[in-house]
Amino acid sequence: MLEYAFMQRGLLAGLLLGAVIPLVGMTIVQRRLSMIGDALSHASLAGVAAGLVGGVSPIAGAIVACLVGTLCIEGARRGLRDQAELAVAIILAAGVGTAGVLSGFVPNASSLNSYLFGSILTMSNDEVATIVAVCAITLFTCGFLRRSLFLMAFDERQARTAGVAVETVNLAFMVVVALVVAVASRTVGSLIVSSMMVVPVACGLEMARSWRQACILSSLAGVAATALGLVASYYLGLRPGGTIVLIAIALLVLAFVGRRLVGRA
Amino acid sequence: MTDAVLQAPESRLPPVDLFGVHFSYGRDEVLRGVDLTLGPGEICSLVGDNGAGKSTIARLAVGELRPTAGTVRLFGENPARFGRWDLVGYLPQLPPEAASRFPATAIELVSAFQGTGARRCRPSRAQRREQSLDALAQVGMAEHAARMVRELSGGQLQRVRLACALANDPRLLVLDEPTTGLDRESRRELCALVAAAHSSRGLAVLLVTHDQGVLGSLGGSVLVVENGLVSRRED
Repeated sequence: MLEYAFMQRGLLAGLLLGAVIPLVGMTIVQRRLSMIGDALSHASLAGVAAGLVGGVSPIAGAIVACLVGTLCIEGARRGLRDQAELAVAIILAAGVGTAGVLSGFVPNASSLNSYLFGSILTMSNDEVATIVAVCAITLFTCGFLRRSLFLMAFDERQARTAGVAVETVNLAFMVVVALVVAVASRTVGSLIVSSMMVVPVACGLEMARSWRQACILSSLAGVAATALGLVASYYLGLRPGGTIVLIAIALLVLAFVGRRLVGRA
Repeated sequence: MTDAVLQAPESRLPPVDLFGVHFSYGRDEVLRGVDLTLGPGEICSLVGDNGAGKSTIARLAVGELRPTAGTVRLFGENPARFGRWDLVGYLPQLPPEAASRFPATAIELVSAFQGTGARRCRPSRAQRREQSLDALAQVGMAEHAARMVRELSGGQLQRVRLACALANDPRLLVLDEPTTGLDRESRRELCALVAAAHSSRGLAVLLVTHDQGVLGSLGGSVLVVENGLVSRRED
């Protein structure tokens, strides 16, 4: 399997994203922003469709769409505090609607499908380089802002009086989330990336005895699910995105059962 | 208090100063010209009916809200431009479900609050751990340092949150309904800890409460928030 260059590229990109998506997912889950992951993944699909119609890189289209989506969501969250969830749902609907309309103009429908559920077969070196760069930016940002993100995950109000520039940190974090969602559309697929922000995190939370452990175990669960999913999809001819998420759910069930068995012993 | 602390300029400034403050949630004007000064080392409790604006005053004082008219000063500065957050300990109301799902240990939480403030160098990890253990010991929670926050009782959680608020040896402590949901024993313990912090560190306390027991044990002045204004309660 590893003798094929496309598989090497796919594994490199997949494993990096497998580690990084749950890392941002940890903050997203604790701050109850999972809906934003869904909204951005649908915005990325609209960007992919726009890229395919316009003849430019679909990942570039997804990045632009996700960044625009992030700015709209942040604007709505600040301006409509009481109805922020409604605003996120409207942006999600706008993403689906735009993607649906543009899909009718995509020359080759199968190319759009590959971004819905992920595909590693046709990933270029440039796309892998983009994914590596985004993962490096994400790791640096999450590392640099780890204390602020931790405090904001506990209580945004107390974080503010602990000297955290909540608005600035939030915007920086959401930009990073937008970048991750956009580039992940190629590997795990736009419709599945938000699941990868939640399921490995649930695995980590099930087993962890501290925040640090939860972050590490979530990332490890993401890497394990991605590695097993990519190998299974190669040998069984399955879509990688769906396979990765189903394996992540299987890991969650194992963690859940294992913890209860250990608790009884 | 040490001499250095007593001589610091912020020790002479009123920690909280509100003058002619108005505030509205949409079209609903909650505060209509509130004047309130909390001097260094003073205790001031705000009481009043639900929705009277008690918590709003606390939130304005720490810059969480901005007044629609009037001025708010935190140690002499506009809270929007305030940079010395190490001088302020804040215990806002926390939704019960927020802590019940948070996957961190007590010491991780307290440690994250160590070294707040623009003029302070953030201590090393080992120093933060040592200081956090000390802060937890002061609220009687050292033996629970490695426990997950979500496993603590309501009273234990409030003591850990108090350790967070006191982690940087502040000059002002703002408490918003700190005893809500606690049993009588936990309320008594929390009040004793706040009173001890006040007397040993000389910190000013701005307290929002419904709890008559808290008022009795902490002392200080009591202000009634009513019809958008505050007035001193004479007992």
